[in-house]
Amino acid sequence: MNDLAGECGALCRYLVDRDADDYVVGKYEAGHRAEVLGLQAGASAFDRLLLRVGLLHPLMTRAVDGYAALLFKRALLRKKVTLLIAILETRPPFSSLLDRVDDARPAALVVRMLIGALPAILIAVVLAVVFIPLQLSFGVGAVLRGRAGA
Amino acid sequence: MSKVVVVGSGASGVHFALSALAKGHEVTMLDVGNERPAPINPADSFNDLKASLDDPAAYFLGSDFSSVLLPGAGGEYYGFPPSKDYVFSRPAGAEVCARGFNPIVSFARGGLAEAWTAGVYPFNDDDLADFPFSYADMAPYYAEVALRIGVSGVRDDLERFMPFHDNIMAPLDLDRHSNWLLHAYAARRDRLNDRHRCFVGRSRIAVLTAEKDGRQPCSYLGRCLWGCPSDALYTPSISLAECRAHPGFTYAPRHFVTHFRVDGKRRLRGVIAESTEGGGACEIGADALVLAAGTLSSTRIFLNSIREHCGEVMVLPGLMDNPQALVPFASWKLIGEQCETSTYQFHQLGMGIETDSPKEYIHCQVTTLGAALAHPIVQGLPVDARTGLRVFRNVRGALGIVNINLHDDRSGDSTVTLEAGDDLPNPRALVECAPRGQTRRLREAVRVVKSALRQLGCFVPPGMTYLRPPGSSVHYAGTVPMATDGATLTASELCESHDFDNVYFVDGTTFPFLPAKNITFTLMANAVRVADNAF
Repeated sequence: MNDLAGECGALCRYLVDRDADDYVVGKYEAGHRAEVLGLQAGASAFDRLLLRVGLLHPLMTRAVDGYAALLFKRALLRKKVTLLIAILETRPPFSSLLDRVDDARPAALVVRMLIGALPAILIAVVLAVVFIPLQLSFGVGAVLRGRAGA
Repeated sequence: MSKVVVVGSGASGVHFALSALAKGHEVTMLDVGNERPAPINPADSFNDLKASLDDPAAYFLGSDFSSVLLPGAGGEYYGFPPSKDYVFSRPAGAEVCARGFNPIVSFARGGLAEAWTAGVYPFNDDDLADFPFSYADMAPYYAEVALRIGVSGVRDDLERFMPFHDNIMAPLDLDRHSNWLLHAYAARRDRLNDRHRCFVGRSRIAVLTAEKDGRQPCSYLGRCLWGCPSDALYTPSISLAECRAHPGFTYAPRHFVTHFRVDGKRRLRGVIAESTEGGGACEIGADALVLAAGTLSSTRIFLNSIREHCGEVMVLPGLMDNPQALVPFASWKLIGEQCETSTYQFHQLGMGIETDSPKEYIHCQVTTLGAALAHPIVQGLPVDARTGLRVFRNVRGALGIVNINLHDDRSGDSTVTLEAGDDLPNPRALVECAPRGQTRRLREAVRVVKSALRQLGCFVPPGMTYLRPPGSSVHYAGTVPMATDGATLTASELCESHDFDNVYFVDGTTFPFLPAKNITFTLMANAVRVADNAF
C-alpha cells in the first residue's frame, strides 16, 4: 500500500468510520495528481508537520483538523480531507452516509453534536497552545529565510 | 427584407433573431458556439446518477477535479460543474484583461444563460426611470418572451416589485423548506413588511410546469445545476434550435468577430470574423449588424471598429454590474429533517426589500439547499470535518442561501477600453473598476437581510457571509447607453449606435441603469422590442 492509499484509508475511517474502496482510493490518488488542486505543490514545514501529527491517530486527525478549521484553513490536511469528502459524496454507499439524518429532535441533536465534538475541541485547544507558537515561529522563520535569500 | 448579421447566440441574440425572422428578414448569426454536451442518463435523478455512472466523481467533480472547491478557493457555496465547462471555455486571444473586476464571458451556443438560474423579473417603472421607455411599452415584449420560453410564477407580495404580465404558467411544486419559509413569512408578514420593509414571495422562473413545444415539464430530478436533462429549464440554445429550423436563418459557428467595417459616411459595410479553427479572417456583408455578444464582447467589437476606422482607442465609462452577497442560513424548525434532493434546485423564493429610493430596491433570491454538494459548505465550517459532516447531515434540510443583488449606476470609475500589443493577434477588452462604495452598501443590505431572516425563524451563522468580488454577477451593462440627445458613444431609443448607421446593440450594452433584478429577461424582451420597432 503506498502512502496516499494509506492516508486515504485513515482519512476515510476518520470521516465515515469505513474503509475506502478501490474506486475512492484511485480517485484520491488522481486528485493528488490534478494540477488544478495543487496538492503536490511544496507545502511549508509547518504544514507538513501538521499533516504528520494529524495522521498519527484518528483522534489526532480530528484535533489537528479542528485546529486547522479555526486557525489554518488552508492547511494541507484540511485540503486532503475536503478532497476526500468531495469524492465520497459522489460514490455510493458513502454518499448515502453523508445524507443520513440522526434520529433525534433538533434540540437533542444540537446537544449531541456538541457533546460528540467536545473531546476533539478540548484536544484542539491543547494543540493550539503548542501549535500557535510553532505556526508563528515557522512563519517568522520563512520570512527571515526569504529575506536572506533575497 | 434585409440581410441582418447577429453576433452571438445568447439570450438577446436568439430572441432578436426569432422576431426578425418572423418579420421576413434573412438572419446570419456569427458565433464561436461551443457546444453543450448531450445530457447523461436523462431519466436519472441527482442521487440515481451516483449509482448509475461508472465514474461519478468525473461527472460531478470533473475528470481534472476542477469543480472541487478546496479551502482558500473563495467563499462560493457551489461552483460551476464540469458539465458547464463549455459555457466558459474561450478561444485563444479572446481573454478579457481586468483590474478590480472579475470578468466572466461566454462563447457557448446560448451564451452565459446556458448556466443561469432561470430567474425572470420584469423591470417596473421605477427600474426603467432612466430608460427612454416605460413598463407599459415593455409589457407586450415580456409577455411574448414568456410565451416563447415558458415562465412559471404566481401573483403574491412580490408583484409590487415585479409586474404580473401575460403568459405566466402555474408555479412549480415548492420544496418543503421553501414552503416552510413561505408559511413563516405569512405568520410574520406585518412585522416584516412594516419593520424591515421586506416582502417574500415566489420566484418567477423560466421552468416549464406543463409540456410546451415538445419540451417536458420539470420532473424534479434535482439536476438543475448540472444542466436540465429535459430542457424544462429554459436555456437560449433551445431558441437557437428554433432559429435553425427557419429557412431564412444561417448559423455560422466557429467565428470570432473582431470588428465591423464602415464606409466614409460611417455606414455599415461588413463584419470581420476570424475562424476559430484557423484559416484567417473573412468579411461578411450585411445591411444591418446586431451586436448581441454580451456587454464586454460587444463593447470590444465596437471599440475595435472605431480603432480600425479612425485609429483612435476610446475609453468607455459606465460599465455596471450588480454587487452581490451570499448569506447562508438555517431554519431552526427544519434541523434534523431529511433533505429533499428530488426538487427544483435553484431559488424558488424571492425577497424584495424596499428602500427610500425606489430605484435602490434590493432584490434577493432564496435558494434552499437540496442537491448541492456538501464539501464546499463543510470545508467552510469552523469545526473539524467529522463534526462538520455530522452538522451538515443534520442541518442540510434546513440550509439555504440568500443571494443579495444591488442596483448599479453608470460611473466614470468603471471603464472598458482596448489593450493592443504587438504580441496580441487582436486587441482585447481591458476593464478597470475602482471601488465605488459597493462594499458599504452590501454590508448594509446584509444587515437588513440577516435581521429579516431571524424574524423568519432562521439562524445566520457568523462569519459565513460572502461579499462577491465585482464582476461576479455576470449582469454587465451600460457602456454605450441609450440617450435621446444623439450624443456620440451612445445609442438611440431603439438601440442603434449614434456613431454608425445600421449598427445595433441588443444586449446590456445600452442599459442606462442596472436595477437589482437579474437582467436576462429584460435583455430578451428588449431584443424583441428592437426587432419589432427598428426592423
